[in-house]
Amino acid sequence: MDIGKWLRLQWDRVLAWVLVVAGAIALIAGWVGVSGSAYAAGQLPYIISGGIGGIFLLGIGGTLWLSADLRDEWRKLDSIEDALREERPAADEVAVG
Amino acid sequence: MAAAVVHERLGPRARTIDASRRATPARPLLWGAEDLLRWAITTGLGGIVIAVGWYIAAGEATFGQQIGPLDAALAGLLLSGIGNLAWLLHGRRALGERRRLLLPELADATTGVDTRAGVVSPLSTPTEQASVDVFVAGEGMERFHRPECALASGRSGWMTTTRRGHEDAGRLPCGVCRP
Repeated sequence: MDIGKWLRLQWDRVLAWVLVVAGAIALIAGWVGVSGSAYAAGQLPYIISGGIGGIFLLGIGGTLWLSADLRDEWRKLDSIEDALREERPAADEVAVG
Repeated sequence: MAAAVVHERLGPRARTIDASRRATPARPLLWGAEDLLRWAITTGLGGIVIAVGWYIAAGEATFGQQIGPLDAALAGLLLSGIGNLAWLLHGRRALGERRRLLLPELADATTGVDTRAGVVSPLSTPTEQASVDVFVAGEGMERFHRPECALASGRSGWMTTTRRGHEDAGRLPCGVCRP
């Protein structure tokens, strides 16, 4: 399958993965920063940027991933609605005839 | 008035567009522009508060002075979390409502409540499903379905026969359950 087409179709999952990976990197970078500093005042900025920032990115990534699942289910309902539209006129014709 | 001017300017093309719009009814959206805006505001604001908190905390020399920015960053994270949660809950609710509207029989079918005679009821276990090679369809219908198909659920008076029987009657397999 064409990678460009796949990226366009799965943009939300791709973005979710990018954010999750970025969040994980931020958490690790934050941990490295905190472990390298001896004072609490030096550690706190790492906790905010790496820790809280990482959780923030992970949260958005998870939300995007779950949104993609919900959107898939929504599209399935679209196809069911189309199928019902196809079936129901035929059934009505039979009922009238 | 403005619409009339636009319509006149586009001419026959506009009439074609109008006709195609009427032919395919607008699909409902899972999330509207209002939901997207709400999510963007809460997430964006949360991110900004975290960034500002970090910036202020990095410029302070003592731990005591950094507590305020840390609290602000936590508040930003909380705000973003609430926005994400509201977004997902709205999506789930919209999906459930549409499912109920579109397939009212499905709720009964999944709980196994509907046991009326002559009503197509879905099979309960995978073993049961695997052992059955018959499909259902209504008289005069163009498609045949698996008994557990959402489109067949709750239908009364439908006939049950083999794939061959349905194909001989000129029916095609359902596009949803793909029998």
